[in-house]
Amino acid sequence: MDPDELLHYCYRCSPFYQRKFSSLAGAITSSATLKGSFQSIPPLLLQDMAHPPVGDAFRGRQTRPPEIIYQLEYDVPVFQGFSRYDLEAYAGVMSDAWCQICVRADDRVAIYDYGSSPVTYLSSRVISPYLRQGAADRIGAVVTCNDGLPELVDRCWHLLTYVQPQVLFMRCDNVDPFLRLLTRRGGWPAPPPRQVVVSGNEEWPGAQEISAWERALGTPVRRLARADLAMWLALECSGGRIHMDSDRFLIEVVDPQSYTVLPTDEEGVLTITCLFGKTAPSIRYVSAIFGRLCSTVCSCGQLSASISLE
Amino acid sequence: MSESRYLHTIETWPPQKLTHLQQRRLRAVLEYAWKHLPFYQERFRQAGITPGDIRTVDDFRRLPRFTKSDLVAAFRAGGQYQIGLEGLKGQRASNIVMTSGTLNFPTFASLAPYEFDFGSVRCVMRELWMQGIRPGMKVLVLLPGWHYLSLLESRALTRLGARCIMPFGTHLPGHADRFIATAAATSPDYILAFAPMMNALIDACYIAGRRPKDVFSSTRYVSVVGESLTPGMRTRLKSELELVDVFERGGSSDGLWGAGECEYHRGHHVYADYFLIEIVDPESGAQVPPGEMGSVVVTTLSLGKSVYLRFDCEDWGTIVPGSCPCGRTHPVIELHDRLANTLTICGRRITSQQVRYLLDEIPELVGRPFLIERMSFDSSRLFLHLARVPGREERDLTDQIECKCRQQLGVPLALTWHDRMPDGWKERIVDTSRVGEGLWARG
Repeated sequence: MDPDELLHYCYRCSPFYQRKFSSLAGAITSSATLKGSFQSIPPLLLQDMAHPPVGDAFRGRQTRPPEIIYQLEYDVPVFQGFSRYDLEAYAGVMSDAWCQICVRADDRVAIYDYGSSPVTYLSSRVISPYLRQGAADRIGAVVTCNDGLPELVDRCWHLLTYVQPQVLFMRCDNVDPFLRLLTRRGGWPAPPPRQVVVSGNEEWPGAQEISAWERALGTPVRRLARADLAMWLALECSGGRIHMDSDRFLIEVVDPQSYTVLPTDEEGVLTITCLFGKTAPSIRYVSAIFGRLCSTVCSCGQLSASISLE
Repeated sequence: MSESRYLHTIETWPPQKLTHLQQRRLRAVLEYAWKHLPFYQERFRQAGITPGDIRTVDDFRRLPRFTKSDLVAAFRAGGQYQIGLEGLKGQRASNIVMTSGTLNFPTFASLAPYEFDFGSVRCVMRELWMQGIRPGMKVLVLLPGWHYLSLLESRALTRLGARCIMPFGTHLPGHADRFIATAAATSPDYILAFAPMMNALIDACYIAGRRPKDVFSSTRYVSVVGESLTPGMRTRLKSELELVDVFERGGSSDGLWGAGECEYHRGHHVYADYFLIEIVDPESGAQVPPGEMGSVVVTTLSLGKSVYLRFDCEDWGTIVPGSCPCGRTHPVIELHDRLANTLTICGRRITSQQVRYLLDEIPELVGRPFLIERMSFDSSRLFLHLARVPGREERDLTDQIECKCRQQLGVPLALTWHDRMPDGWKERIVDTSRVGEGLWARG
């Protein structure tokens, strides 16, 4: 959706954004373009959405009743609502990430994460209600997953032993317990996956940590960036950066205190606007992910604008 | 649930018509297994029969049943998740599911899209409809997303047009706090959950200083899986949450089958067009008559998934005699407990479910987790482990339990009280070697 269209839609349909846009009401209700005033929209903070009152899971952010509600992985209760169309678009983002790591038809993809993580529920149409095609369905891959608890690492081991996946998605919290088990047992139970992808909501392990994990696992490790409240997913490229997906997300880097937009190459927090989620829209969500917009072309060869995360 | 009690007319087909359909589907599955599934080709050869020899269900019983141990042996021997019983009907697998791991070995099953479009998903739709789920209802799903049953529920809820609420976390009682927050924020009409989770939710409400009926004020129905509900537990759930009704569903992911109660709560309706269920004597394998307890043996009658032909689930079950007032003509079975949850004390066969029933007669102990310790060197007493009940004298409760054990089970009691119980929900009877700090620390 075009940002102007999204803002007008939110103003019309969402009580939360009506309040939020009150200072911009003149611009919103007019037919004038809003791009100019976009950066003056007050940011959406996690605390704005946390601990919702009884019966109001989205604190008025919704534009219509969702078909499915997911509780998100934050320390405080926060919810995201989806229509089947939102979910389909979200799964499309995940599917693109799978394509980037060359998941192929008939590949077995194992997921060691909770069922309520988008890494899991966007993978297959049968894990999330209302999803017509998950990432695996689009590619023709086979999904297998189990409990996401770190203390149930033995079950992940069992799964790896018998399923022998080509790709393994693992939540960041589970890497260390898994490495301990790997060390204790003297190596993988079967040929290692050709790719391990690590992910956590608004978590970004450092490059050194990734190198250490790669050495210990003996297989390449890629990071999947996520900000679940903004329905944002992005896989790092081979140059270690995140490339802009400007058809689906608007990303700004802002000062963490003042929320003013920072110039290229200055570090701040990522503020994300999801352009496809219409049921409970997230406009200018201030994540906990630090990064900077890069002025240089990425070493991976892609020419699109990129972000380096810290 | 009056005007549209049934989701499909097949639910009330005359028994003869159902039997005819069942036999037709059985023959098709047997033919497929004979032609394509090495696991069964071997079993047919060993039994000296071919699908051509099987004309009736009685003929079919010549095929030997097999158990989880046989599955485990096949997985170990093959070293991979496919063991030659994957009847995917030419489709590629879309999902591989792992069981929760009784016998300490989770097994695997392969599922193709057919299963989710035309297979057992239809049974689950009928079950959920039978248990009161309707389009537009808000359903809080407190079941693990990876489980076979959850995958089917996900599709069934979609097709029924329910609105789904998926909380974050893992579905163990220790995570009840999160789910209370979810329920409060989203006002569900219906909850699908593991039975132990419902107890944990009620306890967590009280710990938070809130009445369960206030937290779940919007909730009208609960349907539980994982273990059978005792009358005490049903009463507790209905009164604490002020529910219209509480339902139970059951089955096994080893065997890929499931069934659910109707509003008459006589047992679980098993949809005969998808599953053939037998109840047999665990030792001799002979069929036991309706009303008597035996081991549940399942045969799946649809393809598009791993196929189970006479798989002995090693669960205690009973075929409930008589017809159901709900009008459904499909067999009703009552599920009791795992065979493994049985031990012999003073020469008597005691199941953990009997202990559950006994404990649930004491209001303070309804739904509270317990463990029975299996002592290889001492079968003269029931070694029971329970968590202390705040504000209640241990001596008083011990006396009550002791008295009930003697009267109802005819066995003496050795009771150990703990501050808390392990977090696992699956095991009820554990060997002495596992009872100790290790087991308690796991939670």
